[in-house]
Amino acid sequence: MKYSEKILDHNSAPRNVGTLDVNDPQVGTGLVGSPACGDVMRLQIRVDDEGRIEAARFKTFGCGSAIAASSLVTEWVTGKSLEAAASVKNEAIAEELNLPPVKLHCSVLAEQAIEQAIADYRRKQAARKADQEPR
Amino acid sequence: MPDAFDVLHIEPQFVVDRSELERHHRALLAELHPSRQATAPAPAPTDALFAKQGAINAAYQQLSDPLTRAELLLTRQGLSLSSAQSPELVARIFEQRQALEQAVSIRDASAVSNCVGASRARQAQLHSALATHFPQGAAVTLRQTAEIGLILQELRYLNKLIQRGEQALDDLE
Repeated sequence: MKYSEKILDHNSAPRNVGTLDVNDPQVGTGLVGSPACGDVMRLQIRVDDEGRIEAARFKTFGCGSAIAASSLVTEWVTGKSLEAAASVKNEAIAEELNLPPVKLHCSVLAEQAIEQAIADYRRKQAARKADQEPR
Repeated sequence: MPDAFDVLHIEPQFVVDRSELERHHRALLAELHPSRQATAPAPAPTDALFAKQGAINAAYQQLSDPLTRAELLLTRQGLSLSSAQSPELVARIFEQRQALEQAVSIRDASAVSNCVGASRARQAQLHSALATHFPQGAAVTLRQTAEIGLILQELRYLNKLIQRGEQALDDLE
């Protein structure tokens, strides 16, 4: 199978590979897997006080397309508001990377990962708020 | 359309007799062999012959692996697996993949082979668990499909992990 230039580029120079502190209240973590292909992907965001994503990191164990999709998403969401990040859709990822039909699930996985990361961050913030409220 | 059980004349059950499977596989291939045909000299192999051999070999592969065998049995019973995922499973697999890549990155062949070995042991455990979920001669219940679904998912993740580990071991040698 022939990979697009962009997929190759994200694989030879993956952006934002790494780990953020899972226990940091400003950090949201998304951990997703695709049993059909056996790939697993972790995507994390750190959100500043204004609700902007100041950093995004990923770690993906899977094929080149899955790595490229998660790398691209971290690039896209950095500097964005949570709302803007939540609107990242798998179709856009697939189009940008020119993913072949058999690899579309990789873009779906990346979308699920950012969704989960945002949901995790919001959950943490809500729990924190509940803690701070007087009983 | 005949499935792998039909092609190889094997009783559609999860527990299959390996030697019976081997025997049927070989006998079916032998029957097709050009030298066994009535005409002399033996006819040249045709595309139709290759297609038949291919179908027999594919069926054999499918029945040899407990994962695909289980999938096939569920299909026969008209059951589809839910796509419900377990976050715990994904987290566990992520940790294992991470440990494997860590071992690969420091070129520690024995650590890599430990990861592969642990996954193989788990695979064997899951295969026995599957056997208990497919009652002999009885249909699988709906409740069981949920558990079977998770086992099959884990097996697929493990396949990928083992494949990756073995490839890394080859590279390290």
